[in-house]
Amino acid sequence: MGSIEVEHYPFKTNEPEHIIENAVFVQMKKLVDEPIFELSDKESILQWLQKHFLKARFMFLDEEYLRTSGLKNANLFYHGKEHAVYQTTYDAITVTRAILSREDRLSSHLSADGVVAIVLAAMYHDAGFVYQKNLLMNFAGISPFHVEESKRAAMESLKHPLEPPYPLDTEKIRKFVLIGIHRTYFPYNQERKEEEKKLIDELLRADKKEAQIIGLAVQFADLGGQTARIDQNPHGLIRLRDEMNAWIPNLGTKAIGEDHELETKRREFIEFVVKKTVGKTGNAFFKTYDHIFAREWSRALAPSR
Amino acid sequence: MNEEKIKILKSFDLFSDLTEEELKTIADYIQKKEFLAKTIFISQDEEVPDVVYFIYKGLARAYRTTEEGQEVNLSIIGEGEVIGEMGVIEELPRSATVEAMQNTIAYVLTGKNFVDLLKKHPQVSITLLKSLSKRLRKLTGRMEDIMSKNIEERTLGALRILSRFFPKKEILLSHEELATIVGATRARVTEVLDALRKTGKIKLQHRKIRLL
Repeated sequence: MGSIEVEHYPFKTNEPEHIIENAVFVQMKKLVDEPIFELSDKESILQWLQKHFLKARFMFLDEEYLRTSGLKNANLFYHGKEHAVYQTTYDAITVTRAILSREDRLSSHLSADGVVAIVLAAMYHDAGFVYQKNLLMNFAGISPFHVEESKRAAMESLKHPLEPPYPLDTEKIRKFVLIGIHRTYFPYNQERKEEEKKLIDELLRADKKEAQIIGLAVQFADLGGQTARIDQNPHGLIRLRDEMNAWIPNLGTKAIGEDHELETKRREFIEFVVKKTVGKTGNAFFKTYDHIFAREWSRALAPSR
Repeated sequence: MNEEKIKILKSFDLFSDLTEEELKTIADYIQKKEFLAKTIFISQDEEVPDVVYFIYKGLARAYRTTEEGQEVNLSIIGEGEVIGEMGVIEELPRSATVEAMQNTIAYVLTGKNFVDLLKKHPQVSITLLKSLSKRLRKLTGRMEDIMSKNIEERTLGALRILSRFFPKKEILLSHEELATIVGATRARVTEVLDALRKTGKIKLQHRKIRLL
């Protein structure tokens, strides 16, 4: 069987919101049109996903408003709505659709619950940055515990009145979402892997393989999706540096470097992503080394840049 | 000359508990400065803030300029208020620009003398803390006010986005669901929807919200 087609978030920073939102909703519609969802459930699941998308989007509004007003504590220059909600959700949907289109052993592990869990985990994976409602807080300062906060935000959001509609399995989705968000820890070191193992051990035997695919898909959409955005290079790193500096003065500069070191850092980071983290996941998911994300990473490493 | 300064210093809350002798010492260091209306006397991000201003007569406004060049007003500073003390204490660049709104008379103390004053006179530090707390409280209140207004904007925003996916712009959504989406209480959303209905922006029907 040949390689699998996959789409990638096609928008640049500052694209009009309504265009991005429409595109995300179109992808959602395509997702629920997949045969994994029963015909009678498609409409309610689509509307439910749309509501969650809007909820996640609006969670970032206060920070965005304060940041554009120039208030210093609103400093999510990297982890703002554009990455946290738009790009990651879009890529999570397209990656999931690509996996489903394989129609093989890997895709057979996915259930309707698992599919929606990937999308929800992507939507809420950085919501922890804005979940607390203290208006004077330093948003970037949430960084050390933002993943756990994101899990909390997602679990709260899945309660009434936005609980999964029938016939989706609420408990199963909640557990899958936790695993998906957990996979967005960076770096994903041994300690994180052990934590993930504990989360997976709590699942039924039949759900364990699916949980691993969910984790990898969300991690890919988050890290792979963002690093494959050519227009974000090197701006993405600069934004991340500014955000880290806003959290602890000079932290970002120490970790990422001064302006003249950015080009080297950018290359090192892309190499790391391609070789050590989600690069392999993408090749395995799409059964090719020549998928759109890989092409973007390759462009980022091209000497002319 | 110093007697006039002492009299002026006494009018500031910050110095109200100091003795004549202590005020005399401050008066030796403090300098009078006059600013015409529209003069900027503190600039946002000014690297080495080294003076503190005590507004004696006049009015000033503090604002920040966003990256897009938009000015965001933070506060109005009137007679008897202190400005510039935060940058001096924190040893960080100025957090805002301050511009005289009227012809303004201020008394200026160097950062070093100001810090020495705080160290020597705990009562002055406490009074300053009180004034900073008051400012913080005011700012929090203002932010809450902004966020509250924001609920209206985001409710309408959510309805506009959702309306694209419902035929005839009739949105099937409970108030409770809408409240969860926009991050407000159900009661607040009902209030906002009612206001939007009164201004002719939406029509409320049974379990339906119609955007006009």
